[in-house]
Amino acid sequence: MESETALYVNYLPVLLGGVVGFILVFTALIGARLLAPFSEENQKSTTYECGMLPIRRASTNIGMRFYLYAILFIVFDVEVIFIFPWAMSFLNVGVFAYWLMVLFIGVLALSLGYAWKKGALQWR
Amino acid sequence: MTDIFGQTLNLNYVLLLPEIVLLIFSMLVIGIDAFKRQLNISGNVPVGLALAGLVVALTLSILQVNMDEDFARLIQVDSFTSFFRILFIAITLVLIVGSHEYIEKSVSHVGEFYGLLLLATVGAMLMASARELLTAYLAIELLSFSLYIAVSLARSDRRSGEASLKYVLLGGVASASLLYGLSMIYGVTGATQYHEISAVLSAGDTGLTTPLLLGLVLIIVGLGFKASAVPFHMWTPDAYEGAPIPVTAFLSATSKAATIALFLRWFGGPLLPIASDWQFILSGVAVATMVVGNLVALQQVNIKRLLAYSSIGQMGYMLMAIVAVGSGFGSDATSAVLVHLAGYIITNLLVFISVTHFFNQTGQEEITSFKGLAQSNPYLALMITAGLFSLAGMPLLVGFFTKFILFQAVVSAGHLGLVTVAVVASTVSLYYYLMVVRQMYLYEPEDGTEQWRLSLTGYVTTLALFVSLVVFGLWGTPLYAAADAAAAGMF
Amino acid sequence: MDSPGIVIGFYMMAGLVLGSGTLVFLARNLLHALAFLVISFLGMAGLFLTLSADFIAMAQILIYAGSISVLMVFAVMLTPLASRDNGNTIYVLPGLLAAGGIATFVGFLALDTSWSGPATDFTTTIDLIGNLLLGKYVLAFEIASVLLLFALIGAIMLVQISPSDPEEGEGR
Repeated sequence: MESETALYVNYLPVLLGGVVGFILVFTALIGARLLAPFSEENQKSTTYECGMLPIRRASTNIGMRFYLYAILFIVFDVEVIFIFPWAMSFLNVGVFAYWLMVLFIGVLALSLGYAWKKGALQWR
Repeated sequence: MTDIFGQTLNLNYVLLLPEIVLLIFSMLVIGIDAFKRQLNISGNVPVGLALAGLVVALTLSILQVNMDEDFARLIQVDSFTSFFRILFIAITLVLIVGSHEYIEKSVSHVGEFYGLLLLATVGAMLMASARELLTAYLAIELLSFSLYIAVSLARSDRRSGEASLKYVLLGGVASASLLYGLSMIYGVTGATQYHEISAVLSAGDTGLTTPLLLGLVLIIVGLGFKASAVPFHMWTPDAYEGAPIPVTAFLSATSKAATIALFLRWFGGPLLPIASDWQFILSGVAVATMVVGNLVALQQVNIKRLLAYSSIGQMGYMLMAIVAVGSGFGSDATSAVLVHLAGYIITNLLVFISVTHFFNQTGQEEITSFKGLAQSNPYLALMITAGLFSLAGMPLLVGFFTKFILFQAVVSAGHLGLVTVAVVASTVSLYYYLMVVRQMYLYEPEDGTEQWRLSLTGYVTTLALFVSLVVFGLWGTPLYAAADAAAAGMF
Repeated sequence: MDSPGIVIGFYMMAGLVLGSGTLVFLARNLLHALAFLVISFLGMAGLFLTLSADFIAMAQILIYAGSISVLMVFAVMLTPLASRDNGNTIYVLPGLLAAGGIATFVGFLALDTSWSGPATDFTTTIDLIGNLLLGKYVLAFEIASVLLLFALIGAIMLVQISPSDPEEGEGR
């Protein structure tokens, strides 16, 4: 029984954090609902209660280029996934592992260089 | 060295040199292209570098022809691998030499395009040489990723983006299905090494028939997509039509050959002990592929779509031979598939490079636009005719010889019904190949009989391909010997 | 996963995944649907965790709940306003049938087969995976980095607006 739950013991803090976080947010929301005064007026749902009426919806389209940032983020996120297990077994494997990771990051650094050169990181 | 599980790993990097060289050159091409303004170099440097990389890799692969050694039990460099390595590098080499004018004129991001072609070649080479499921899967992704991007690179062609999107979405589904299938195989056998899987499966009933069957079906779906076997072929015509013509040629040559290599490695190796489980699925797929591919080709009006359906039909013949591999005629059937593959690729490259040059001159790709080509450019018309006749399997050309060997191998494995379908389908195919030939020879050109010529590299590549088409058609022994040696390495 | 706490956790997480998954297609607002999708991803991570696959759980949170959902939010924000709500689809019935079919089949497969798992006696799977990546599958590790490199190059090439193509502009 000891060994079977060994994996899960590590994750007890995560569970605890999740439960506590849920309770905190939930009580805050419920508390606000119960305690705060509400008024039902049409004026409340307008953008400005006094002043100019807005002519269009506030949300507009953002440039397509921003999609690139999300994709860059995913690629480097996936890279991180590979670094975690490497970090855990780095000491077992030794120098070989070090050079493997140098190669891995080196290849990915090329991609960063390419992105930089092509102006993908530029805010336009 | 030994890993921490105490297993010896043969880390002989020399074995991977062709792949490593191609990878380095592919990154170099892209890097140099990105900095071409600062370095102040001419536009010919990327293509020169790409060709240099290919030639070096080709030399290295030829030097390793007689090897039989594994790299860390992930890659097996044997004669089968060498056959495909040389084939793939030669395809890319011929394509770049034969259509560099087209690439410079009608492809956006030229430098990256060459880099992607080299990367796709590496992926295909790894697919043929992997001896372990995970490496094979990553190799497939390497090939597919670079092709997803390359398909979208036709300049000022709206169909190109659409083609790429369809290819990516359906390719993603196929990859997922393949991966799920592989996980089933791993779940049943507990191994990813081909020979370990084979050992577990041939040891007898695993008691896990249902997941094994599901795994087989999913693998056939995934690989069938890559091979554009019916009913997973829907992406093929659109992707072929939208892609730049060299990429279309690459899709129909390297991508298909690599998939067939993987079919042979998997279904002739780890999955051979359960042949009775997959043979009937695969024969159904093969029949559907031959019939649908050749029948739908009849009503095409675009030459790229026509060639797409023609290549679907051709894949049907090869899948049929893979069924024969399962009947205990592995070595014969494999070498027949390899011979047919080589012949098909030589022929297809000739047709595609000729079409590329036709497009360079006229900017059109409808079949009716080939009207009167025999008058305006008799040489090109002859090349296209020879290629199409060879695809149809006319005697004296390589297509006849290879198709004969293929059908014979399948018959001797006892699948007479399959061959009957194949012969009928192959007769039908003659009709739509002749449609193109008719346009070229029986009609007057629409815009005058003005003669035009190919570029020097165009003449050299088409002539070289034409010569090998005829020579191998009359004297196929070298091809057959190479394929035999490659097949012998596997069984 | 024989101890009762873990079994209860498994079913709680399964409920979370199913519940938020249902809300994904019931929500009228596309952004709300995305939020429920993220919750469903998190629940999936919890499922992996109760099945002793902690590395996959982490990858699920990092990649799916983290960046894939960001990508989807971007996709919603970047498309024209008209498509901001989670529209009706004519494929409800075929979709339900397909989902039901797959669920039945996978369920049959899971119950019918006597799967044998490895004897679990570990505190984490991450170092096992690390050892495999750096030993048995060393080549796969490096191929993955090349794959990522070219994925990124491709993404940049596809998104980039080339100056030679005037028809590509804002609003595409």
